[in-house]
Amino acid sequence: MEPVVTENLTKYYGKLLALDNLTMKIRKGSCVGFLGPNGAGKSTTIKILCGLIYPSKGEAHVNGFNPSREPRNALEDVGCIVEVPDFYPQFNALDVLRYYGKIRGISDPELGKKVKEILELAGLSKWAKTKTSKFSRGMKQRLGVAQVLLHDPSILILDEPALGLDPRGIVEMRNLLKEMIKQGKTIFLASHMLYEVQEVCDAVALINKGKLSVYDKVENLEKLFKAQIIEVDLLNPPTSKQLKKVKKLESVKSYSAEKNRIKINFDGDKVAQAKLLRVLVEDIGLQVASFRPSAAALEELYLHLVEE
Amino acid sequence: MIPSSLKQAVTVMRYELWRATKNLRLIGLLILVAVFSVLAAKGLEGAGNATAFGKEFFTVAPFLLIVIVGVWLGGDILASEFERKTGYMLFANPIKRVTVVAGKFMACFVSTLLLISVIYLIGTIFTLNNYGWAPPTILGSFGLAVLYGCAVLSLTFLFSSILGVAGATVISFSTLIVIMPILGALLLSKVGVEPWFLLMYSAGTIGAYIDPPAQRIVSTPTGTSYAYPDFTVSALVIIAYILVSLILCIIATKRREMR
Repeated sequence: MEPVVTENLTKYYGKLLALDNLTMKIRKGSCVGFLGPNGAGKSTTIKILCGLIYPSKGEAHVNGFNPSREPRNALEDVGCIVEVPDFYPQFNALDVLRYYGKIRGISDPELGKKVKEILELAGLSKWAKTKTSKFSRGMKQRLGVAQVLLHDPSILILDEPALGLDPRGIVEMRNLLKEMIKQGKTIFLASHMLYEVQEVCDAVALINKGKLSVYDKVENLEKLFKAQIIEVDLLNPPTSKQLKKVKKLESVKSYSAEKNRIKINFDGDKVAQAKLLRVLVEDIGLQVASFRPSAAALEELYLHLVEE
Repeated sequence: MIPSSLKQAVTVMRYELWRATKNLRLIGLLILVAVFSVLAAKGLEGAGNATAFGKEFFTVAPFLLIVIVGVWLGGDILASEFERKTGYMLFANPIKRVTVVAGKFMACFVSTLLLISVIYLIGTIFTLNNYGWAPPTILGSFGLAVLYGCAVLSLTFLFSSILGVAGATVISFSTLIVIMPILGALLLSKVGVEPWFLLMYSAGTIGAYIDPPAQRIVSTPTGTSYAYPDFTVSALVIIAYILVSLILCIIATKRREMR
């Protein structure tokens, strides 16, 4: 049984259709990136899965239970974070974690130990006794993530967990997610950060105007789009003659050049990539300083599907 | 292992009480109630005897103070979870919304009970000090006041489950302090109907219980007048307000979405 399932999930806000028959299953132990533009229905889906709003039609199941009707069973082994969480301003980080830990039934000696560990992990140990009203957006996000991990759930439903974090926080979040994947947790990650999704997730679901456009493994999506971007940094700017030669190469769909960099829209596998590099250096005579596939492939796919 | 709903409700209650203590709301109310009660007792010191003093004091003090206490404690208690979005954390945990309502209600009830006890303690001390004895009917009046406090909380919880923070506070306060008394007075004076179904009218029993007049219904040349509300009917009306408001509050909270 898949831990997260939606069947014809539909949600209207008044007359506005926010979700349109969304059907998807998330395999146990997988990490699915949930992409889409603003207003596409990502948060609506997450909120239904977390029992915060109710579908107009269709059903959601988490661990086999409907979160709208049976939140106790559905959310027992789940950690949810929705938008940037807010906390009771009178509480400090310790109060917040102890409160939610108690609600989840973590006993006293264990709770104290876990709270200490999780505050350390979230980088909030120094602010454990600071009132949450004094927390920045990033600190609130960290505390939200700490609350999610407190009971060591096997399913994580995360809505923009890196929102509001500084660059270091984003890297830490990425590493944390990778660690969670290693531990075999099932992760459903709504995000605008395509690079994060491509780095962390093994599958991507793309939603647009409430409808699921694509749901497949990241590698299959790259194949589907039959393209990836290769970024080539050069020691000197390429001549127009060299660029003409690049354009004529069989595997090159298109390219763009800017100063010492060429971005090649490339169609081919790893072998073709190696051949391209050799041709650029040996046949065309470009002085290549670096040659790397760009993370922009998913971005291209995203823009392509969202435009449509 | 998720604890039972009862244990979860007790956790919610404990942390709500902790929160009310930390934000000084409970302390603020304690000071307000104590100061108002002492001033009211001082102002009524000219009453002829212990019964007259008790009747006056326990009519004035609980009537207004219980409404202030109930609305202050309960006005934002559910609405803020939705409006300030703290519910994103709370409701995404494995806890039923009815459990949240139960825990929060218990916390407000404990606070209200404490504050009503302070009013009665001050009233009783002044009665004993001024007259050397206190009518035992104060205990019955205290019971009615607690029941009434519960009804005020229930009604405020209902508004808090439907409206925003400001709306719930204003509507609760104006319903209890302005609309119901005016409606009751109009029904009595213009239509000649006893407004036994209004919560604020039933609250009249709190003071009247100290020393009820011999005759409840008095015929006058202009019609019928009522010396005080019927105790049994009033108690039943107050209980009905508690039950109906709480049931509607639970339904509304369960249906309300965290958008």
